[in-house]
Amino acid sequence: MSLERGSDDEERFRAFAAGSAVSLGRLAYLLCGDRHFAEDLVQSCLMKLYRVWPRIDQPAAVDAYVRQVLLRVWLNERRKPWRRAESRTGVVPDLAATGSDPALGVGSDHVRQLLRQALAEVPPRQRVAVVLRYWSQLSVTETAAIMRCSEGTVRSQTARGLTALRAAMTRLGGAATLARELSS
Amino acid sequence: MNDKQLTAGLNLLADEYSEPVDIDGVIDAERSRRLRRRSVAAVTLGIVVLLTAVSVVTVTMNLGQRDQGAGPPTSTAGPTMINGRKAVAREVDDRARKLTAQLAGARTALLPNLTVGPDSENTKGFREGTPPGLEFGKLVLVEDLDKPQRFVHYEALARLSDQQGVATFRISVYSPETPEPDGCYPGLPTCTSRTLPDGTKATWRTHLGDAMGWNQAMTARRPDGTLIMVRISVWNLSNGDKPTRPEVPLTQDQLYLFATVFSY
Repeated sequence: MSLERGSDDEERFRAFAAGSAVSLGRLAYLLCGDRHFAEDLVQSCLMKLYRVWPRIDQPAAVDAYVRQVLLRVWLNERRKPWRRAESRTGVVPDLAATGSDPALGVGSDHVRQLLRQALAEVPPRQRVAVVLRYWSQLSVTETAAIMRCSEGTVRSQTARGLTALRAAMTRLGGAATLARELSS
Repeated sequence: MNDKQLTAGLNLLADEYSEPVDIDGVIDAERSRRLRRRSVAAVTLGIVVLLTAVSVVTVTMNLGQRDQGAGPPTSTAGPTMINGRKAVAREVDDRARKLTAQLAGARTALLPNLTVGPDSENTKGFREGTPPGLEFGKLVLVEDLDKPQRFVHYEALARLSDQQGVATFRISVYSPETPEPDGCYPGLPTCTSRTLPDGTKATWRTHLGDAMGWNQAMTARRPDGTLIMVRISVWNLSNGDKPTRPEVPLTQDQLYLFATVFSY
């Protein structure tokens, strides 16, 4: 089954894709930490969605479904050999390390850098749980549906993810910086 | 870092991403992918169909070759074709020994001045090798390996030789149920018929397969139903152009003598 070019179904898909692309891209970016990789993930996700669009009979569930697809695409991509060889924790920093020049350890750019590095150190499924719960503001039930696991698993993954994230932030010396920057 | 700070921090990080998505590019990419998959499926299907066809043709050809020329499964030495049928075994049983004894009693009178030896030319492919000259064996023939209608008869072979050369000689004895060959009609110059004193009806034929040499045959139906066929041949196959002798070593009358020797 495929969409006819210019059909109502295709127009509805276009509208949905245009409206959710940025939000999907941001979710992908938080998960993978790489802007270009996030673009690829969104494109793959939307292609998969386009393929099944005629079979979607519950428009209200599309948001959750497309997040689920994005998550699958990301996890599948991570398993590919050429992706496994990459290390997202080794992203060349935009800014110098805080230890080298304390004066540079301020500002929102620095906070983003710290958060990106800290998130990259959180295991993938724990990262998903943290991002969906604290950025997408989804409930445990909604998160469990997207992650296709039990609510208990979501809670445990979220707790472990938070612990790992806080530990990484503390190690990177960013917890205080984050608190200070966000309160200013 | 409390939950509120974490959410704010994630928002701050997520705001870094604001890349637009090329929706047309997504749709075109998906359509291209679908076309590619269909093309690959079509090519794969074509290859599968082609390979299947090649396999079927190969198997069919192999089966055809087996039917035409391959040896029957019970023979280890290859095929023996007798009157277009395949010989699958030759064995010496009681009836074969009886027929050999009947022939032995009359042999001197029937084959004067001829040396008798095993006929290796006509026995190639027999499982047990070349039988001794003029010793009967039971021969099982099949019409076709796929339609295994079996024909059983007894046969003795010999290579007859004298000063003029060699000839091959074959005596076949069939059961009473076996139909005899077409009759000899009056006026045919290549055959004669006789009814012998004991009631045996016999036919002599000549010029059978002249292209390969000179052949004569005598067919007799005995009163008890036994069908006898005696064939003598002078082949020109051994050297390609010249017959192995100027004429067959047995006359018509000599061949008729075999008509009353055997009883199935």
